[in-house]
Amino acid sequence: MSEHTEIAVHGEYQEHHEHHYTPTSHFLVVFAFLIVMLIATVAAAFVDLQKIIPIPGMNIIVMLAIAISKATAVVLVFMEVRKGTRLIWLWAGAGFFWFLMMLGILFDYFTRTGVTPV
Amino acid sequence: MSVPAVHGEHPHSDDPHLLFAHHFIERKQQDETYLVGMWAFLVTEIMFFGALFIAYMVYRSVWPGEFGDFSRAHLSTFLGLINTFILLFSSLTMAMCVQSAQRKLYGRMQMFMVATFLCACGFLVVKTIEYSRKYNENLIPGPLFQYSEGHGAASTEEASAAPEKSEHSGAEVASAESHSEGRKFSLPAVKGRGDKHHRHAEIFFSLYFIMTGVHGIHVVIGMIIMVIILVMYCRESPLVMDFMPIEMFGLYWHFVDIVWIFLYPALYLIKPDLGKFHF
Repeated sequence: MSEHTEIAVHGEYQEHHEHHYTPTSHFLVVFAFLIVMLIATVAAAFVDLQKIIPIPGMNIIVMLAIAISKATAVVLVFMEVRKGTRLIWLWAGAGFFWFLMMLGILFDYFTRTGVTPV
Repeated sequence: MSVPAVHGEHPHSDDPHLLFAHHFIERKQQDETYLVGMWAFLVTEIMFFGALFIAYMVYRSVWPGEFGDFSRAHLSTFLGLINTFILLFSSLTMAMCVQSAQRKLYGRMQMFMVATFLCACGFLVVKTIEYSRKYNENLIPGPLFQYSEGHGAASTEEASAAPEKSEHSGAEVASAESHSEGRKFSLPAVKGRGDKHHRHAEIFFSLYFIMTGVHGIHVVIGMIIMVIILVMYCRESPLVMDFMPIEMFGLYWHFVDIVWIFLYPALYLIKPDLGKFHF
């Protein structure tokens, strides 16, 4: 009888106690991805990518794309936003959305004439 | 003997995992609130660093060639790569630390937190090496700033003749002016103070020091918090036996890593020179 109680207690304890955690393998895969992207970004820096794909600022586009992909991987997996609630997604998204807006404001500089810094 | 209720009467009722503050309806809500609080702070950090990045982008878009030259001449791609690798690895150890706390494997949590702390130390060591080099090359913006072409050549007769020239001397050297636009990196010219190129260099290094310096301060703050958490863990303070504070700190640390992920290509990888890819 007491054994039953103990098992029942243990079962209930576990039921309320489990906190889902990300398995180690997920972290290792993301880490490998980050290292590969790091090597890619360093390698791409030494190559003039505009000669391969003739878009002005191709190097910057590729660098940005790699950096954004790395940041996304860190945010989704390491920061566990992937399994976050909608409210977490809203705040995480708000921050980066703000940065996009700020970048949009930056484009004003390209339309200015006759104003050069320093 | 009846089965005791899990909440309150449970033998482990002092276990923080089962308790939550009175103004929440359930534990899950409290957890979410802590995370939202941390994310609110991270959003302010995004605004802070975002503004710095945009200032940098504006100046770089106006003087792309010069910024590339400054970066190639004086920023070590290799040291920056070491730092990036260290921080990425520290992000991994931090994620493992949070996972260990969630699984209540406190020994593992402690081990991973120490590993993260050591990575942060390594990052600061490399940073110190970089900054001390800048100091020796007179590249710290301010009254001692002296930009000259060529790696390590910090002074010539011209520079030593007037070491206390104020940074606002508007007299532009005519010959220097004609060189500043179509000049190649390899020319061993030395610019005097007040020259346009010199001012642009000072702006580049101001941005460099502010961005990497404030990022370094964030790393130091992270290290302090890690020490506090480890000390509280040794004292078995209930505050850190719960996984949520560790998870919140984890968010902060990953953010610090993300900032560096953007800093490295922005500052160090503009126009790197393979011949300079060395210590």
